[in-house]
Amino acid sequence: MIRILLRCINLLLLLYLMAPIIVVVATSFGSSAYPLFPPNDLTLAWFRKFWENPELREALRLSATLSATSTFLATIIGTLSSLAIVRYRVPGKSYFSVILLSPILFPAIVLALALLVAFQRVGLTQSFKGLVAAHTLLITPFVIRLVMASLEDFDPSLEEAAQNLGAGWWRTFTRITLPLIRPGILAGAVFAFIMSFDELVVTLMLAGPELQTLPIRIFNYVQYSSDPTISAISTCLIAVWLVIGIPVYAKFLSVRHS
Amino acid sequence: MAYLTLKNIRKTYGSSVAVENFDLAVEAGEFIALLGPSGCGKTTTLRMIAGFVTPTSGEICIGDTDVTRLPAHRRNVGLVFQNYALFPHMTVRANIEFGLKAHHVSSGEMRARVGFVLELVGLATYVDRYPRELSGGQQQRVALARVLALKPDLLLFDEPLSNLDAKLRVQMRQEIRRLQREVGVTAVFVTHDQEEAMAMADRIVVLERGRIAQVGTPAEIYDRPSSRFVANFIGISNFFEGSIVSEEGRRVFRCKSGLEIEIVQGMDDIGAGTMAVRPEKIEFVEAGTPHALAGTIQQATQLGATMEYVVLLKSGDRVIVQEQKRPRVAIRHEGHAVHILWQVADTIFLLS
Repeated sequence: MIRILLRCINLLLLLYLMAPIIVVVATSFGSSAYPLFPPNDLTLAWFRKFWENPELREALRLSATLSATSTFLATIIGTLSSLAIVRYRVPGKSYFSVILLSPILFPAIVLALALLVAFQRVGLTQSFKGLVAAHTLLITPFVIRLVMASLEDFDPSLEEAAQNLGAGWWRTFTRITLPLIRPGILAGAVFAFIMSFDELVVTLMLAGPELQTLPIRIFNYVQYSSDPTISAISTCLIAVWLVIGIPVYAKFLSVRHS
Repeated sequence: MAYLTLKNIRKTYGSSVAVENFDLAVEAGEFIALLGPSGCGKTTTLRMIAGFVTPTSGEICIGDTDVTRLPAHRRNVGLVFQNYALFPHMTVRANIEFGLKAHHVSSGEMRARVGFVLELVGLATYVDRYPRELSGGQQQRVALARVLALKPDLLLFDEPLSNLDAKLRVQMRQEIRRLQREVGVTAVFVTHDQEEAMAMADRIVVLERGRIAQVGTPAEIYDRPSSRFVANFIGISNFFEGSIVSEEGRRVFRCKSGLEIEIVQGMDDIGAGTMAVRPEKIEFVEAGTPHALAGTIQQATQLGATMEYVVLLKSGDRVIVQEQKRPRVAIRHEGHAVHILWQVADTIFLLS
């Protein structure tokens, strides 16, 4: 009896989570000039409109470049930091790791204001460099968390075995350590990319009129327009997420059944 | 000229001493066991030889070379790890080739050596398997093949048999010894299992809290343990403290409890100390046998092929007796009155 009840609750929860996504995807194919569910007629017009809108295309390009650059930097910095945290006895190590992970803990708006003040001092506001710096700061903790998790599972005697067999630190790192923690690095990178691509609060504060990322454009677009173009963009993002994100999530972040 | 020499090695971590006053000379081709309980410094010593731990002071020489400060990857010393430490993302072949590549061995030579060592350990058909597809014993052999492929100057083993089941452990003992003789390499083997050390080693180094307690052949260690610690560690469990006294023209060892034990010729001028007797050297005898000690069985334990009894003597001393299970010898039960006796020659006198 309780089992059936739990199943029902589960199902309702799933429906509650999935419903908005289903609605968004459905409305993006609807032909009416405002999001309508269920759609009465099917069309790809809103996808064309998204693609033919130079502002949105430019925003997509900027977001992709910004997220890719930040993810690249965050992955390198994050991987090296987690190696330092897990492997070496650094004095004050526990504080160090708390500080490194603090961007996750602070409210985004607080961080946004702090970065605005700090970046104005050094002239990094309204610049691509500034956005990369801010995003890297925001997403590195996620890389650190995930790489640390895979490093903690890593048997250090494997590195000793490699040295014992005559490998110097570079060979040991590239042939043994790196391949074995690669799943963690990959998961961290995907997670970081998504966090960066999605980021609105900090970006809104630091970006000038020239640097409108996709989330900012979407945010502005819905303020004066209500056609399903936004639904079409969302559908594209969901599709990309399904292809790249879900498999990585399922593989590395799911609850482990032993 | 010894092949491996450890001179006055000392290793401290902060104020705690892991190893000190460690002097050892190992001959070429010799098989040495470092034996001791956990925390005695045996693994630290092995790791110093391998180059993972730098001694605080002292000197380690292999052949004519002082390797004390040489990094681990520059020493040609093969180490077989307790958990084997096979690279999980590489096949058996890639595991063995890893070290050969690091040493820039040519590809023809590499193929030959991989084939040779896999033949040696009897795993030639497993070359494309991954470690997870092998049993514990097979992983052990791959770990051995991986270091042998490099033709090491020295072979080190860090409790390599402790993860195997009892039967396989005995089999691998012989296998390791056979391979070591075949290749003719000098070996140092760390273990906490006295039986393993006895069965495998040419010489045993018994360690006690970071210091060498005794060095000797298995027979020397077995017959003449130098201290109570060594005696206890190699399975002697009966100790009687007391001193030699002379009475009415005869000399006996009188324990603190009042128990008197016969002594052999030549032992009579050693004064106070400890008498030790192995549990398997004690026999149950008929009542009335000269010199037999009377007591009762306090506890009886099955040990497989043998029975272990705790006998409470009239004097209050407890004696452990091990008896082989044989046909027509009944198992004794708790509360039985018994008489025990051992040969005077089986008594070991310890000064401490």
